[in-house]
Amino acid sequence: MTLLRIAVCAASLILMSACAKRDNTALYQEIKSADKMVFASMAITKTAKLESSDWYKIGKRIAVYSYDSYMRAYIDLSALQPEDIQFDDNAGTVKVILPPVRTEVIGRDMELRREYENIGLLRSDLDSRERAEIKEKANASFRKEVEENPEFRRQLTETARRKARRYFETLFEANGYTAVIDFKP
Amino acid sequence: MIKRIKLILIAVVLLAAVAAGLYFYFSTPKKTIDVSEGRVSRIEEMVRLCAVDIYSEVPVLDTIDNKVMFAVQKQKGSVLFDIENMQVDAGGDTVRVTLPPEIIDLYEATEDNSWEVIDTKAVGPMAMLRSDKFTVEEENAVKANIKRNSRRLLYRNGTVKRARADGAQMLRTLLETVYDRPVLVTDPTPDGAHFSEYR
Repeated sequence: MTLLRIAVCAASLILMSACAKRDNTALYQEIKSADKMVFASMAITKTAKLESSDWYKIGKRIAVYSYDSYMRAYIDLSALQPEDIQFDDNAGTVKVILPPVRTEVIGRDMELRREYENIGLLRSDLDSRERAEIKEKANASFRKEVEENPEFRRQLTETARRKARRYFETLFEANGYTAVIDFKP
Repeated sequence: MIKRIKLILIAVVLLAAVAAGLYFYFSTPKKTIDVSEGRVSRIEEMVRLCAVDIYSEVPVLDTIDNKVMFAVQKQKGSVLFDIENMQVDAGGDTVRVTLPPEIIDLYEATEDNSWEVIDTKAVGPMAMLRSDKFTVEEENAVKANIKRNSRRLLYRNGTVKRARADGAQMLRTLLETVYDRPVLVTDPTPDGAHFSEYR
């Protein structure tokens, strides 16, 4: 994998010396079948400020960027067993025990939003590597927060449970049943 | 003798000044990056079937405004189907539904170094005299191209087709459980609802 990556990087760098054009091929691609029912998603905004200064440098060099990272809440449909849905035709009710709601981080915006920039005349503009570094720092902080602060997951899970309840109640109602929805622990 | 000492002193001072100048010119100024706490900006409710999860690493070679960038990006994505507003015909013995258009969510991954800029350079006339630095807008234009190319790849390599087939199967299983009747899922665009846009 690493060798392949190095080879493709080298080949692409050689291509750069000629006239560059867009590339479509993936270095690596993994497609996995999923069996998920997504009920809620959450956008979390991170803002990062870069400031580089020293007494002998004239002018400011400040840049503030932001972007969103995303989480979602879902139930794994493959965990839904036939015995989890029990119809009572006489009473016109159905008892449904859904798999537990899970959450996952699904990614972040590719683009950055420029919130503020103040680059003095004698200071150099930010380059793409510096912006990548800013994003990397913000991302590390985001992952730490998601890991340490259960509030994000709790809020998302609650929203997804509410939505799942409403959805299945409506679905069974259309079929003539009053549904009682619960979740596996 | 005094004259000689004076000359040596001047030379030492000059050398020190040149050394200090070079030091300050080449030294990297102190750089700090402060990150604010994450803020929930949006929570969205939905009912979507996720048929396929995608993970990929793509090389990025693009030219914007006579500037070339080479980078490597790690991507995560999914192919989903919005089943909340889907029309269900449950009138007969068989429940009939039509598979909705696919939604392709594509993001930059959140692993370490998911956006790695290897090199940038200016090309074209007077390239040596122009900056090779991309502005945020130019960088965002590169990212928009990446997204478009990655989507095109998902249509061309059959990922979307596979996701639609999987999605139809998932939907059938789910609705058969709910309705306790046979379910017929029709797919009007097995190659993808937006296949023609990515030729």
